[in-house]
Amino acid sequence: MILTRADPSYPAHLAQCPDAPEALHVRGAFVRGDEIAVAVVGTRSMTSYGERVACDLARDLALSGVTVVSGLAHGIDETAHRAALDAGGRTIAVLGCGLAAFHGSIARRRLLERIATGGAVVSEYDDDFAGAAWTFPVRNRIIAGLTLATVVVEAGAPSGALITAARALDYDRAVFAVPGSIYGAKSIGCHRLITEGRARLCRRAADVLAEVGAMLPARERPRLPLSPLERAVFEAVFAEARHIDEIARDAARPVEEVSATLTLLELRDLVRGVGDGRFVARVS
Amino acid sequence: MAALAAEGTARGLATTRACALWGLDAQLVRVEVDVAPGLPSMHVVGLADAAIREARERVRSAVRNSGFEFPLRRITVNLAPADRRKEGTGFDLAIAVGVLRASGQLQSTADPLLVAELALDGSLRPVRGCLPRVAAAAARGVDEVVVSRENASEAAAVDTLAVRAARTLREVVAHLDSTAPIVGEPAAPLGEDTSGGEVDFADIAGQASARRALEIAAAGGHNVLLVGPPGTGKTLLARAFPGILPAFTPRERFEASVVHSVAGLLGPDRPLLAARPYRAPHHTLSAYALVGGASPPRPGEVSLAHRGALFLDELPEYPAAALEALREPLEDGRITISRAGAAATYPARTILVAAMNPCACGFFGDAERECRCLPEQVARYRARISGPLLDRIDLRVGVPRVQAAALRSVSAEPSHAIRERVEGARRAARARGVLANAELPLSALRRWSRLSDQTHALLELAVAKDRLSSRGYHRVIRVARTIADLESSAEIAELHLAEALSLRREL
Ligand SMILES: [Zn+2]
Repeated sequence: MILTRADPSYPAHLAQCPDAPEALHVRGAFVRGDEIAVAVVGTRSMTSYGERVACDLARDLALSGVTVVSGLAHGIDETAHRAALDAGGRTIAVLGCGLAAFHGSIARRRLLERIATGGAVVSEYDDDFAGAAWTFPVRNRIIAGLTLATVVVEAGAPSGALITAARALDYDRAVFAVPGSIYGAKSIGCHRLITEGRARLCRRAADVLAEVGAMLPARERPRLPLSPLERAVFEAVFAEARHIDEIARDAARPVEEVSATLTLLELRDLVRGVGDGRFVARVS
Repeated sequence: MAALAAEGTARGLATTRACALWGLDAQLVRVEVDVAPGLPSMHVVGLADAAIREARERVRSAVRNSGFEFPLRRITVNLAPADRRKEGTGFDLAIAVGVLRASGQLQSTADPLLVAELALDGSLRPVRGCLPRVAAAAARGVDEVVVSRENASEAAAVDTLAVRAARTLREVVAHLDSTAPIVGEPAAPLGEDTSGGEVDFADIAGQASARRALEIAAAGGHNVLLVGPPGTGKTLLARAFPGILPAFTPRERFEASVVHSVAGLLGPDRPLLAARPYRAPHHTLSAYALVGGASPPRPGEVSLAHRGALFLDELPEYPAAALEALREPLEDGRITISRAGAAATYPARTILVAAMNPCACGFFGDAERECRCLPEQVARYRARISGPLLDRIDLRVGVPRVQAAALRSVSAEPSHAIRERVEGARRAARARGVLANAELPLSALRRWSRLSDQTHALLELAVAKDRLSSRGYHRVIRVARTIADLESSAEIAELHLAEALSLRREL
């Protein structure tokens, strides 16, 4: 599908940018909620710290109803897309090549298909255009333009993510950077954005939601027939991931009941295990 | 009986009784000694290993140093049946007595089982595997056994035959020809079951899921994996585990002691295991040391933990070959090792309690410390536990860092209270003809695990959602059976199965 700037369903925030593409090739579809979108971008060679941050941020943003936008690159980008989808949220990938010319790893090609079903994959280029070194920095303006805020998770000294941040500032959108280790090279770019006063510090999704959250509609609780215990357990993991032991302690219920209940909720696609015994609700 | 002839022309033939051991398999052996005219020599035939062939030298010196004459003729020793492999030093005494009898130096026809190694000075030494040999002989109607003093209490654990403990070959001969009979050993009392953990669960704060998983493991004999950062108490939980295992029954004590006897781990002060074995071998051990060897046959740690628990800390650090070799014993409760035509089977019905960090540096997912691993490194670290091995570990729990709030919480349930519930579940298993649900064969599992329609639908849903592999299918029902037993519920309810599925989760 091709959306021109004149089309009423062309993303409104992007349309405000002077250098927005005249036409967008789209697989999947934009929905109303995509107007409240946040970019989560960063390096291709992330650390496991970066992976964890990207995963937590994208998940929590998605759980709050925010659409997560990124560039489907290796590393932070793909992690953010995946975490948003896994949480049952929406995500948009902006490519630097044509929609039919994406040649990433098999895992990322699979991810692209998932995004096309649960969100949108977009490009300003013709479907068969292979992309070039210069097209990837250029598409970053679309990532910045589609979103209300850009979060840089890990970025070295020169980094594509810094270009996205610069475009976001040009468009007068908020920019956040996540601090990292002062000894490694993977967060130099983030630290520079913060020291130069161009980005605000981001420690968790709440920091970003304080900026964009006011526009979000209240999240609806599923109107499913849940037992009182199921309801209590579901509410406990509605806003953030919690460990089984914690949920049991706070609810003053035996851990075996909570454990069993989480599995029943999981098999009904209402919650999801995030590893190491922690669970979080899915958005649907 | 031929008399010893100084001229060296007379011929003598005599037999004695010994017992061969291969793996745990004990078989009575008839030792035939033929002393014939000819050049002085001694041959041992009948599939004997190097240690038995060296018996020639020990027997010759021991006989001479005990004041007897070693016949300077052609001696042939046959260990019958000749088609069975035999190993070890346990035939020395039987061969020496046979030589004395064939050469006319011992007239008595008494024919007890003789189980001892000989020192060059004629004294008796203990042998490995005394217990299974004596037990096998007793089962085949042998009413008397002669062993070394060191093996006396171990042999006396079998109370259906007379045990004579001797220090020297001379004492054995004096007993056999009735010049100085040896008084029988009193039957060794079984003694107290001293099983227990070094740590009580009352002293472990928080960790509700891990405690629950260990309770289910003890109740049903299921294997458990604890995953969490260092310093979260995984080792402490594992050390508390023996304290909630059920009472060590005489049958189990005997089975476990036999393995320890074969490994040479029993002694005069420890004739039978007093407590369920708890083995915690370091991750530097070889596959051979973990699962045992075939030639010579020796039980490994997984068999030494038979009827007890095997704690493997830092599971991914064990050699890949050792971890792969664990699959068979964890599935079948026994292990057969074959090498160079020799095979040995050992029991290995143990509960594996494994612990691991979530990543190589240990802090992946930790709320307080930073993980330094790259994501691929984390994946590679976890991949060291292969799918087929993980499939056999039914209970997997994340052990989080305990928050101060939980540490302040009211005192936790003590081990003895948990153990009472465990005993209840084990009684239910015994009523089905097994010691624990993990041992239930499929036919019995089907019979004892009727699922309600609702429970069955849940199981089908889990399969449809790829939460359950085909190998996991029956294993999860066994765990659900145990969970229901802990509640004394005849039927497996939906929540029982849901909890079992929850514990089978990928970490
Ligand atoms: Zn790590």
